[in-house]
Amino acid sequence: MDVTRATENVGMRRPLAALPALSARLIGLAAIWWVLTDGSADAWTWGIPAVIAAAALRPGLRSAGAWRWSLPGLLRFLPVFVWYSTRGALEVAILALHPRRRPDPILIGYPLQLPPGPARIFLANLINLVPGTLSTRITARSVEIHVLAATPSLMRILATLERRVADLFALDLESGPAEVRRP
Amino acid sequence: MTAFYLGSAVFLLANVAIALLRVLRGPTAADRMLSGELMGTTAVALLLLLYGATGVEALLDVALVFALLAAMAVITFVRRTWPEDPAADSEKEDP
Amino acid sequence: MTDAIALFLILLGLLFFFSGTVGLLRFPDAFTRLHALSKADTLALGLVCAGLALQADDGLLRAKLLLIWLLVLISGATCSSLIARAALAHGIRPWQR
Repeated sequence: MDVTRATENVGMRRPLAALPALSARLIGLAAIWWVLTDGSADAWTWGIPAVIAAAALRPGLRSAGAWRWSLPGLLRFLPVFVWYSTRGALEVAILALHPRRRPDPILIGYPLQLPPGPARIFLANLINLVPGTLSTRITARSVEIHVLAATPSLMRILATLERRVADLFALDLESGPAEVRRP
Repeated sequence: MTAFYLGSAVFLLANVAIALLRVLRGPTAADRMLSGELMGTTAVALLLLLYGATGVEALLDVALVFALLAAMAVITFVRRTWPEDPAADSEKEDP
Repeated sequence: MTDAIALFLILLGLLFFFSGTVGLLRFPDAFTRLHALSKADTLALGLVCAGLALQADDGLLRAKLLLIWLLVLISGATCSSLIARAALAHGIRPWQR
């Protein structure tokens, strides 16, 4: 699919193509302001300039480049996220409270299929909420993960997550089974 | 419900007090900083519970600022006080 | 009924906060402690937020609670990775059995 290439151009060379992204940011930021100020009408005196400035300047986010996400992808992503993060918290809580069980941690490398950019960083953050995994470093081709206990389902969970993130960011992954590589 | 909220807040406060032990013991700077992260999250929950008990909506804004400050604290720690330059690292960690 | 559900959610949240603190004290090294933090505490705060949102009488307040939780969720996940990366860069090796 050409989606990846298209996203790289948005906002960089063609200013008009950035308009949908800019208006999406404006709406999102305005919604946040509305919630923060409890819907107070007076607050918009400050809110309108603040929202416009933040949407136009994107403080700290310019280097992230342009990206897009898909709503159906989000809807497919959310249940997976809720289920995994609940399971992750349950597993670590049981491990902490159980009188005799101890963690058996190991560092592994998980080869990434996602292209460099926001999607990778998003996945690395997500990994922290998933059962038994904590991302430590992103290298050119893989992400280094600290695993609480190497379980057989681990690779399947990571692959599912990566596919969901690709779906969320409207990216197409080269299909092929991921392999574990120990650094 | 008010008594329940206040009781929960006291429980969280005790949690933070216990977490202070980890700050004392360390042994590495990372351990101390992650206790700081725990306190940030717990403080947010504590403020939310106090909001539940008193109904003062300003406490929600305080919680929001706390959440922001906790994140800033960790980032500042990683970037400034504990930069990833081994030469600049004077503090020796236990193995 | 809503009161009972809110009560249950908040109690569950407190349990997760407690397990996070226990993990912080019991786990053998900084990396395993980060696991306890980033997972248990995030869900715990989510449960407390959900319990309070059930009792809130106004949609905007619920949205604000959700916003607080999202902020902690995102910053917590990012900060855990930052601390883990810094610890590795400083030569702290993960504990192994």
